[in-house]
Amino acid sequence: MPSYDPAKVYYITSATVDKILYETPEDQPFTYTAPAGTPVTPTFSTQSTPHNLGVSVWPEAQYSIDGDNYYPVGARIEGAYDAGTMSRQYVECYVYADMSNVYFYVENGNTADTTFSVRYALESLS
Amino acid sequence: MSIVGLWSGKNYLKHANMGTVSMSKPGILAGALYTSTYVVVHNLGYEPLVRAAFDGDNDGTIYPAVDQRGNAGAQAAIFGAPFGLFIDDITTTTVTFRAEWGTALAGTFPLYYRIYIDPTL
Repeated sequence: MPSYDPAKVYYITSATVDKILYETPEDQPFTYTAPAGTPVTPTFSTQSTPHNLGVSVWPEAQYSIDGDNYYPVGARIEGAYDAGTMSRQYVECYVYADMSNVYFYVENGNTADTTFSVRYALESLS
Repeated sequence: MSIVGLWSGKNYLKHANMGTVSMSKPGILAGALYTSTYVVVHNLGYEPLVRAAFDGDNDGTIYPAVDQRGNAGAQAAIFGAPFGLFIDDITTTTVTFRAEWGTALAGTFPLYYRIYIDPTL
């Protein structure tokens, strides 16, 4: 329990706020290495991890392929140009959840195996 | 969602408007895709931060509203999202949610949304 600091300004809110039921620790993202594909024949993978909350939850997530720069799910990360397909390599990552698990849909249009790191939060629906 | 009354040194994002509504699945042909929309009137006088999620199959599987959808066929089966849904337009008075799919779908589904109070005001 943080202590009261008279040097700080505190406020009282009577509004509703988001209720986070679970959040991955900053240094413990969900990780998965997707097999290589190409920009025109990407690999598709669905991975999951249990949350054991027993209720439907609203997942929000950010993902990284270098462990440093994180992007929101739904954003496509584009990479180097692939001369073989005359297209840019890319990755996409999405997340969804049911009453038991969090699912990660990964699309790898890179020509090398790619490790995805996903930091996610599970929010109450009500 | 319970009212929060607290002292805090952190600036929590607060809801101006939030709720769960029943939205129609995409079934109206608009161009090449079938679509449906839902409009929430907020009248905040500014364009707020908005987040949304939905349960497209009414089976307890929740998808964030980031228009995630695969192509038809094998990818869609792997993908899992029953259709695409996204925040289509945010104005100073309304928020429009839009669902799209390649074939007409019937029925309704729950849409969860959060419209936030501007923390700079």
